[in-house]
Amino acid sequence: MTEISRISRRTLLGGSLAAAAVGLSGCSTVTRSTDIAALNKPVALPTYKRFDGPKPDLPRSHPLMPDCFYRFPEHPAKVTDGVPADGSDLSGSVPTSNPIPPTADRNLYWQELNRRIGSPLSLTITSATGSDFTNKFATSVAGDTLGDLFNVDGKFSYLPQFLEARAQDLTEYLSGDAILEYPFLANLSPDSWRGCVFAGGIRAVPIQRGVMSSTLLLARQDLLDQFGVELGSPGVDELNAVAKAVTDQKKNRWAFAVPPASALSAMLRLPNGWEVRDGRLVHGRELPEYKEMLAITAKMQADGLIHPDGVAKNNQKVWFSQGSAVMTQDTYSSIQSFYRRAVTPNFAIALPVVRDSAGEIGRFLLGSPNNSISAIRPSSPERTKMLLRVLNWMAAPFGTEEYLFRKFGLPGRHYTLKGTDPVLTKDGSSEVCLGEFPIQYLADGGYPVYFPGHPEAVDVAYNHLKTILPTAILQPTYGLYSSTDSTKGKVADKDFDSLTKEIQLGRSSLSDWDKAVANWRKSSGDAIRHEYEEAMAAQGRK
Amino acid sequence: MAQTERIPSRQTTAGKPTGSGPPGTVTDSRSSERSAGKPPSWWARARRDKILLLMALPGLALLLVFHYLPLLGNLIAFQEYLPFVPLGRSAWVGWDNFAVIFNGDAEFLNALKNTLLITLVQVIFVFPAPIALALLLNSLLSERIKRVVQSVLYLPHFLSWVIVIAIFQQILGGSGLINNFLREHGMGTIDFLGNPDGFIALLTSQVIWKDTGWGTILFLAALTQIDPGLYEAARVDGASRWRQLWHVTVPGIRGLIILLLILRLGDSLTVGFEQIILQQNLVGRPASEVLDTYVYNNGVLAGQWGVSAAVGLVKGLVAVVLVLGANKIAHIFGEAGVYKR
Repeated sequence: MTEISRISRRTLLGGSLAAAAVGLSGCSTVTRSTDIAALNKPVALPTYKRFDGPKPDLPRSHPLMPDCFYRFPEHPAKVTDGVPADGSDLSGSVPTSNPIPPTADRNLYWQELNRRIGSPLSLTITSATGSDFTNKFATSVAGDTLGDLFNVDGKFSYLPQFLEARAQDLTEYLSGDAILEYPFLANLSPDSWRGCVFAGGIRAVPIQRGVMSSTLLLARQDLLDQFGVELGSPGVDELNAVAKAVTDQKKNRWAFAVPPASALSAMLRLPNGWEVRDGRLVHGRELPEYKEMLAITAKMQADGLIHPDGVAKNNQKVWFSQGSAVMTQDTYSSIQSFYRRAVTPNFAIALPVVRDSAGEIGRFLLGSPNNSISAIRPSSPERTKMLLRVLNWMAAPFGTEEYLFRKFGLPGRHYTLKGTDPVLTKDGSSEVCLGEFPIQYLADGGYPVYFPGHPEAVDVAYNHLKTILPTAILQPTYGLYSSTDSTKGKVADKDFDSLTKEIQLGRSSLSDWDKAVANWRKSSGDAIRHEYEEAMAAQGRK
Repeated sequence: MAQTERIPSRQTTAGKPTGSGPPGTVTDSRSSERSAGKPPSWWARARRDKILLLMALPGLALLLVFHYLPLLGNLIAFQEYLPFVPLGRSAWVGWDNFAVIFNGDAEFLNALKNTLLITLVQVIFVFPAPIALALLLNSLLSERIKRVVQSVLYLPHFLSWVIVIAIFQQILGGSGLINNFLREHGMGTIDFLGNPDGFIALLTSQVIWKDTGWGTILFLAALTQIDPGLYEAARVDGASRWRQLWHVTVPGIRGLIILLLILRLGDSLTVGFEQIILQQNLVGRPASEVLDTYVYNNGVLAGQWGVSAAVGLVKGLVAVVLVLGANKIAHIFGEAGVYKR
């Protein structure tokens, strides 16, 4: 295995020839493993030990509650000694959603980063927009050019098999108390680590986002106040009434930037993907509630409450921040970006807690605990430990000196302080990649609720989380693997997404949905159901 | 480009059998030279053309490395391939991956149908557009206006599909220029972009907008090669502008039209991957899936690399057959085609 991969890493020409030669002479073959029980074998998760770092400004009311900070802690403390790496060359591949930063030789931040890590780090950075990263990842896998540390495309088919073949098994280094050697990795939640277990081993490190990546209904409180409309804590009817009150097509203003699927899912108590009902896994799209949601959004579209391009084209961030939509749905973490884009000084976001038909708090559907995962190329135990120390360094939590440098660079050149909040300079924006230098896709600390300059928004997010977290649910199939879902399932999801849009636009009917569901069950749905049931049994879940 | 330089000579020989209009007076001395007498030996020719051959080497190397070597990768069409398993370790499955083609998998057939339909529409509407535009430009009297118009027309070719589609959305989208106007004046809006029935028309108009200007380059070059003496002679004979167009201009570029049509046939199963994948979500796969997006959705997304390679391979073979077949037909009708025999 290693011998072959070394050959194919050589020059393009030699590599292809060697691959062709091997293609003709190979003897033992590898096929796609479909042993669901083996692929979903559980393992003892890393021990969770909260790092005793900067104290959040608001109490943690729930285990899932992120740390909430009004401002950046004064006098951030240095929490590591020395450098994590051993001076040897490090390589990695990562995506970025921001403009690609200048290369290390022209980038003071990168040079300082190398100094602090203790090794020169070279990165292959690919745009995360569209399918660029997916395509780049697949070709890098085939060409074996991922490097020592690499962010993993979660959509990659045959992920467990891939990680088994090409990523270091980290179980002996991280399982149980072994992780305590890496205190910042031990500071990441067990839910996050569950997403790193594949085929009976811990084979990756989480890029934790916790609840921050969950989507929810966002409303422009400043506009609602201006129109004298009270949104409060709406059910379906109240939401529709408010929507009609704030829509004014002649003024290019609509209630919703996009169909409010998250709010409606909570209101209708839809499952988060698959869910066990009456002892059997059922997908949300098979339920009458789901069709009800489709019917409601189609009605909203027909009534002209949704931005005319809302179903088609998601430019919702612009519409919402500029006021051509009064409500939208996005993540908790997007709140910061909306305040940054705001065009009026009194811009304010409300996060309405939605209610179901019985008037209870709607069941909130949580997003994945991780943005993504990253893995390590199979290495000697010493090198693996060194790479884990580097990842540990990259996961130092919010409020530490390490975090301040990682996200904001050097004082003066990259950021200035406004109160205690760091604000990026022009050089900082470019060299530190808008405060999101892509090493954050190799490892990162927990994601805090921190909206610099907007402590009131922190309260709004905190109060919403405090209300919804007790009944919020993760995807029941989170951390499980179904080979059919990761192959045919993705194409089916794409088709259902298109059909949803067609129904919302009134071009297809709900009976088309029934037909599509029936077809899906036959072509892949029932197979996926069966595989997840088997996977749950393998993990002793019910 | 070398092809276009020889156009006038080809036109004269091609003009004879059909007998349409005065074929002109240019005689092709080179071709008679070539057919007469014993051809020089291989070695002698190589020595004579050594500078040219040397100049062709870098291009040839690129062709080898980026086109011929990757052909070996088609091996995976016969394997149960996984990108993280070396080629030699992937299981050999023979013709299994071709089952979607031989057994007529419904999704594959739908993709094939859409591809052929789009090709047909584009050959009818997109292919003649640059010809018409080139003739129009050629009739412009002022050289300066012509230059400016040409530059403006070339520009869209250099925009990426992402931008072209964004521009179309800004104009035709639900909150685009036209629909905003309709809404402000209390009229019903029109869904241009998300309508599966209009998808092919949308694609075609986008291609025409983007590439027609660029496509005129070859034709304009060919038009300048036409001997002005032919027009003079025609005028002396009392031919109207329309008859000059029909009997001098069109025969003058006919060789090029046929050449490009044959090459277009080779691309006939390749219809705008990027353009379609960017707009696919809105109209759904049933109306928009073509062979290239089928390969992407099933290969890269759904992890069926082997099946996708099989479909890609067959697509390539069909293209070769089409090009060679069309070339053969061109020869039968006395045209030069892509290459001379």
